[in-house]
Amino acid sequence: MRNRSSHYSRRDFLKYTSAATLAAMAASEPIQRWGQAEAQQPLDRAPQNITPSADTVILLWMGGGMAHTETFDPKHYEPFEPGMSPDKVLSTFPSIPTAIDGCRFSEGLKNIASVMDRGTLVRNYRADDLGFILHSRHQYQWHTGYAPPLTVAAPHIGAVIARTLGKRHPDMPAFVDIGQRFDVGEGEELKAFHTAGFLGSEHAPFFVPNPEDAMSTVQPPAGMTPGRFVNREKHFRELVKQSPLGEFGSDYQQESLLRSMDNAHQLLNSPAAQAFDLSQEPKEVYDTYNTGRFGLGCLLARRLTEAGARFIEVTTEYIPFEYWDTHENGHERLVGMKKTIDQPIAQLVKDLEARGLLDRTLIVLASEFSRDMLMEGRPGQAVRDQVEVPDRLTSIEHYGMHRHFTDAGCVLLFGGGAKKGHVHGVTQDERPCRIIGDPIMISDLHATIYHALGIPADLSYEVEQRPFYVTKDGYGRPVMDLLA
Amino acid sequence: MFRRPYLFLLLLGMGVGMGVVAAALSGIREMPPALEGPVDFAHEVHPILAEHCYQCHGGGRDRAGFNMDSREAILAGADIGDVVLPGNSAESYMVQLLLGTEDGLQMPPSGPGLSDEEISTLRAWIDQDLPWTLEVDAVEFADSLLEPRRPELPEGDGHPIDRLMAPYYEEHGIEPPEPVSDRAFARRVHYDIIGLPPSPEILEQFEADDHPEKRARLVQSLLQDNQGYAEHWMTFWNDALRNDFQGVGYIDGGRMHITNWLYNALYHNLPYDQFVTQLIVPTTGSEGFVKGIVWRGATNASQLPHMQAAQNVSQVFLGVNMKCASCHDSFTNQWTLEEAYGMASIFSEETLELIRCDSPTGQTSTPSFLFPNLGEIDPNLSRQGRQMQLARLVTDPENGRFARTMVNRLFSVFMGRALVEPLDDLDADPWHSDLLDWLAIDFVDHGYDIRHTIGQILSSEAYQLPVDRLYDAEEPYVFRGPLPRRLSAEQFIDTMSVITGAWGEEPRYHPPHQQEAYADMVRTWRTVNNPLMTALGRPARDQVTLRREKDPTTLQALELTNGETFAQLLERGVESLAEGALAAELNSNGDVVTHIYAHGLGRAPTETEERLAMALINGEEDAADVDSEGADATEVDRDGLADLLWVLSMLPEFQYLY
Repeated sequence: MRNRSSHYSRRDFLKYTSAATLAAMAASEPIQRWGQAEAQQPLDRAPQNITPSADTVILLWMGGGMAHTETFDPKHYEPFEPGMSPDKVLSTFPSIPTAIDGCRFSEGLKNIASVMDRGTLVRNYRADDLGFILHSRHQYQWHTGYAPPLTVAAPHIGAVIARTLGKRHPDMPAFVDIGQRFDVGEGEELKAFHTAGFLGSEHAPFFVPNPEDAMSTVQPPAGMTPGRFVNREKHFRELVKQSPLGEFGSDYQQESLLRSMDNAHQLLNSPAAQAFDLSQEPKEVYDTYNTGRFGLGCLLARRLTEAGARFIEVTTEYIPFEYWDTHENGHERLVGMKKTIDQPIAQLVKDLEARGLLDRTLIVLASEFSRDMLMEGRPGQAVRDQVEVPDRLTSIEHYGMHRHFTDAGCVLLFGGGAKKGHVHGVTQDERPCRIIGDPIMISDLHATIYHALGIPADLSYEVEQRPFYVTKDGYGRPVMDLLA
Repeated sequence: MFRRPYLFLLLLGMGVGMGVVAAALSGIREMPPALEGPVDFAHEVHPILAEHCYQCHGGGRDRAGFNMDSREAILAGADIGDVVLPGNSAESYMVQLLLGTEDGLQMPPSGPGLSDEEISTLRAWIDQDLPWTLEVDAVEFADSLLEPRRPELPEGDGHPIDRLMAPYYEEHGIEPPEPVSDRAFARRVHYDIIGLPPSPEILEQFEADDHPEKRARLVQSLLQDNQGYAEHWMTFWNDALRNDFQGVGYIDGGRMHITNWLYNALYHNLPYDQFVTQLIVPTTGSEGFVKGIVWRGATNASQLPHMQAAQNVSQVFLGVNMKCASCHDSFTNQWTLEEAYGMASIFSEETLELIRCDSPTGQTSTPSFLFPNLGEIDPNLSRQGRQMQLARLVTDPENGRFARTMVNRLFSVFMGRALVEPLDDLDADPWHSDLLDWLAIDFVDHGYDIRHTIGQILSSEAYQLPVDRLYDAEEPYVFRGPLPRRLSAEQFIDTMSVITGAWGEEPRYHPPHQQEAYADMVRTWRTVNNPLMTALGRPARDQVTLRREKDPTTLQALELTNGETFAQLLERGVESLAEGALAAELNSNGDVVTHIYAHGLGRAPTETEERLAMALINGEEDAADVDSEGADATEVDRDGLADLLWVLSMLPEFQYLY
């Protein structure tokens, strides 16, 4: 139930938060407003009356646009034949059964299919219509809930969760981002949402671009022996002690600087840092996950979940025209993509389950939008074609989902309170394979994730004296049918 | 981005069409009691209507013949008849519909409906005869004085700022301590004007100088260093005007650089009124600011380029936050949607329709200025003509807000805290309004010369006070001296370069009129952002940034402790110290240590410090092993030297302006 002051007013602001706001401003920390309530609540307590079902989120990001009809919502399969008409092709793979009766996947995903009795499949996710397909912009919106440009820097959902719930383990960064490099195409746009935005860099992602080399992110710089590293730190402490403290800044600032150094060293010296070391895994486990950087990212995510990270994103990585971003040769490329994700994801689910962690860890697999062979955008809102599709498919290179389709898409949820063995939403069996009934939009999907964590969809943080809601304008509604 | 009415498809039409008789129905939800006490329409009721009703019944819309834009309109009822009975909420059809009728009718027709609290509020409002006052009282939305004001300077012959501060100190029982030492002062003003630490030679000369005006003279001489000044202040203005070498939008022409224009404007000390005029009415090279950032695809109305221009001009030059009002009448300040569109229309070739929270209102906008008292915008002028008019109004000497906004920001840069906080909201109360107004009028009197105002502030005794070590964000704020400030990312890295002689690589800008003294220095601002700079607070510049994050964070400490970028920077520094141009002057390891301390901290090492430093640079295991000959050693242990640079740069004494 909303508080009487549910509508933001200057008077409330002055009455409730004036001193705190200014103090927080001085400390660069945005004020938090639980459903517009006046005071901050302790972070370890579930706000309002939501009983959280998850403590941790692992987001498996299928960057570049994962076609629903080629993965988790297969339609009529038409094998390739030279000269075939593209309108006959809805799926380029036959379908296979899953652990859920009557629910079929596209071929190549048998391992994930086998663990679907532990998860929920959403078939009615619909990406917003942004008027033009730009992967980075849709990804920005997926990750922040808001479409850029924006008047303030919106935080990544992982940063919101890190800020709201804090660390699970004192030595472990709350928000870890695995697998995305930024010196790639659209890198600036990708950087723009891989941040904590106005929440402040304390809540920003800890980047592990290459999971195989994850240890380097929590070790002394390359070429520095542990002994030298310890010594350097020791010298620093000695010189701080020597420094004529009184002259150089306030105690408060001196302390916060030293505290930040402590925190950093705490991670570097903590046993928790061992979680970053994939070489500690038995070879057969490592090999099971090792389908490449994404697979190892899943393994790292499992280890970091055990070690106490709060929000982990593992991406197949978005690079224009690579991976899921199939502008040509989609069928053959997807054989590889499915191989990349199938085994590690299934293993991640099973491993977390075996460790008793799946119940409190919400795994979310998602993509910025889907793809289709013919439709760019969505019916009635078609946008400019970015890919030439010939009238007749003469080469296997033409065979695949090469256009960007925003009208329907799939999301998978495992653990963390998600229903088990459940399918939500239906799409048409004929092109354009639209959603039948109500779609789930990004605000509602976010609200569902937040709900599982005990965070209300209208939680807001204050920036420039305005409330910024964690779902767009506070209007996300959790989809309770997805949760047990 | 902020709350807007939920999308509802149908409203009263449903019930009306079915011929339902209102009074006969009882709600399926229990009716919550009316809220006790008088309701505040502007803050409690209007937002509910805006959120739940106006999609169909506001902004001129009258679904089912019912419009809610005014009290009269509501009382006029719908096609079916009365919707509210003033004084009798329990019997009012509106309340029945909000609760849901037995026939399954409910308003709004989709979504979870209004909360009990909201219904209680509306009931109280109806019971209290629907008060309708949208005006907000002056206390809440303090509207600061628009015209300039020339406060009387208190008697005395000191610096005007200090004469104004004297009564303030007295009132707050503060006895200002002695100003900081020459060294601390020189370090402050160097960083504040040219962004670099003073050289040991300058420090020595300055300390030896016994001219009574030597501090003011140092400030003046630094202000005349055109290149040093321009290179340092590029950082501030790039943040404020969101200009960078790369970033969102540049990739496909949706954004333009203003780097060269900006550099030249700073180098030549373009008067601030002309500076702003050239940003509002772009000249060659300054187009990027009002052009904004354009992403391909559809954009929320509140972020179309002309609205971005309105927001940014208001925020950066007038201390007005229009971001709320560009979507709906603001709940947090006095600005309205119409006023935001009035500003945006100045920058638009087409007549704009007011869009309230993504829904068209049918109302068209007329170009207008935020403060019509100062003058009007002629809607018949061309876009450029309107922008010229806007520039004149913004920079009009009668627009006191223009100068106040700027001097307030400068004060904040140098004192760590502005005279009016929050920085973007000039309507809030200053902690010293005479000082604010005097600085503003003095700025105008001196031809909007920013360097003049910088000189004023930096030569005051207030600026020279020791830092306020007791400050812990308490309210109300009391000035006891500048707050300790952290070096910016650019100052931090530039200082490392001063020490080592290894400057930035791959500059993205080459300044014209290169001064001899700066010939080899690729200042940090000229290079692209990297993880180290990001960690130290250089923003992405997709949004206007008027104050950077300044608190140390764990991720920042991690970046400094084991980040690749900083490790490489140290490696290049060691390389340069050992083999670069500086190496020739540094004849022994003792020289190296002296050099590092002199440039990095502006002083000689203490005995203990020297012993530690020598141990590191000589590659000794322990400081106790260093003998008296250690300083004469010439073989540098490179790892030790890198560690020494690291240790030094992590010290609060290095990282703070104290």
